[in-house]
Amino acid sequence: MTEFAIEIHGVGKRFGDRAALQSIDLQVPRGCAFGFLGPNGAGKTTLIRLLLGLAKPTTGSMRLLGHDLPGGAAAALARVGAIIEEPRFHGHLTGRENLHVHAAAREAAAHGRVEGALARVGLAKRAGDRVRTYSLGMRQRLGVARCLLSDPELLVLDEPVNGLDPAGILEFRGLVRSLVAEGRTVWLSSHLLDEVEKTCDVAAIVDRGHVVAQGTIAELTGGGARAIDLVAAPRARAASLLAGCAGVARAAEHDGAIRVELTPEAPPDRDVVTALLRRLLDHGIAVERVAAVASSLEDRFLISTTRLEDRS
Amino acid sequence: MPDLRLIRAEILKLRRRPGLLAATGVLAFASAVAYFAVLAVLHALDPSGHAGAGGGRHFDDAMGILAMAAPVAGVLVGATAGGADIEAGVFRDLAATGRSRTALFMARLPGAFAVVVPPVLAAVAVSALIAGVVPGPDAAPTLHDIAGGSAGALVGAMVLCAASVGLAALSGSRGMVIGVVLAFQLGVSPLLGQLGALGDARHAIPSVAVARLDGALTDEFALATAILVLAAWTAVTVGAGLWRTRTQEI
Repeated sequence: MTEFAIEIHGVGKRFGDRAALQSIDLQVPRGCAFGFLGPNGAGKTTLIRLLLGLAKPTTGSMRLLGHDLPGGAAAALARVGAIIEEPRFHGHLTGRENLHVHAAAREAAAHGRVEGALARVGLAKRAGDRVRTYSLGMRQRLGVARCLLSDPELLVLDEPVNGLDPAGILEFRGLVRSLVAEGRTVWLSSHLLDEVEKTCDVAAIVDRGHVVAQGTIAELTGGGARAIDLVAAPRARAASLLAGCAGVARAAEHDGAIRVELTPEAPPDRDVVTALLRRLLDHGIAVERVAAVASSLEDRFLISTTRLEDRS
Repeated sequence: MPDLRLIRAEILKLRRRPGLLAATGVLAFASAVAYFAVLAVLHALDPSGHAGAGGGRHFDDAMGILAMAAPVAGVLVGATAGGADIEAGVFRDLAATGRSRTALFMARLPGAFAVVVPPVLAAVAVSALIAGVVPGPDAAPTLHDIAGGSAGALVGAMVLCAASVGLAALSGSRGMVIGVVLAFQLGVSPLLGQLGALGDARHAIPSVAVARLDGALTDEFALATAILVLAAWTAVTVGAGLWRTRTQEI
């Protein structure tokens, strides 16, 4: 068994003159929740379609669960459950019937997993109702149930919390973690950065057809711009003094404090903080509070992608 | 070898459409049986003016009605079987299971036949029973008459059903296929069939080939030619649908 559930090397996809993906390199470790982030149109769903054999890459190679694609697609996909873009069903069939229709395309044992899958996503009581009467949230859960029919080693979930209320999202987060705890790999494609940060262990950010950042959530949130907030008086003079310190990219009043943004070479460690405080104290400025500004996945996402550039 | 579980799934998807089943029942069964009911009523009202509902001639008339109506049912069912997964957006999920797209497509044919053929056979059986048991203007139909008379309805329904499966998979649109195929079958084909200028080319029209199976046009062209024409239409339309299913990016 290979270390990675998914290995992608130099994969590109063109639609006519437009390059949807350009030389994507990505490795997803087994047994983790992997977040796949990107602005709309970045190529997230295109990459999922390539992985699932729904479209062919223009360049590059892929391995899925240790099988080379496309040759080993049938063997690999037999152990993959996926929701692509949004879960679609035959509205005139019940939830249970839809799962049996899907199970017919899988190994015979899949039929025996239908009731368990329905119970696991909390749809056992509504399984006899036609899907056209389901809310979007119920369809999302039925989509997850459909994924479970293959007893998957890998689940690919494209925007799975769309339509879920806060309680449903919390429940879904627990479901993903329980699936990971069972040793399964979960690929979670989402634009909800906070959700990925709370649910996933590893993530990659894709923008305009390129992977622009990837790593553990801790690595991603630890990189990029870091800052320190200081409450000191007088603020204007304090900001002016701090702006001249080594390792400071910018210091300005921010929300009742002074936000000191550090250069990438200056980590917000004890030495840097001590130097900043010494500078203020040496000039007779009282310091009331010092706090490191935690970098979030959202910060990293905005820095890594072109979203802000597009709006400016 | 077709996968029985996939075929059962196709049948389930079709059987859960009450409107489609009702239309199929009316077209592929009730249309022929109703003819005998009308004959029986006429006979009851005026026994001297109208013979009994049975007999070989009335059986042939009923099969003529069935040969017109059953293919329409075949089109409705075939187009639904061929296009429903695509229209519902489910085909992508089925293809993502890694199951061969050929297997997914080929299961639709027996699935559609399983919905269309039984009512046609039932209509033939009931018609034969009535024609054989109830007195009529002529003798009861023989087994040869029954087989020959019902071939057009059965084959016509199956050919158009298969063609609609293929065309719906090709176009991805159930409604468009129903409209186009019915317009061709009910409007264009009869007109082309009457155009003497077309000469032997008329034999390539499916409805003309079906008529040959029913025993008409026996002096115009061979039965084998009619069978070849129908086989070719089926192969081309099903092949086009299969090609599209196998190659399309979804």
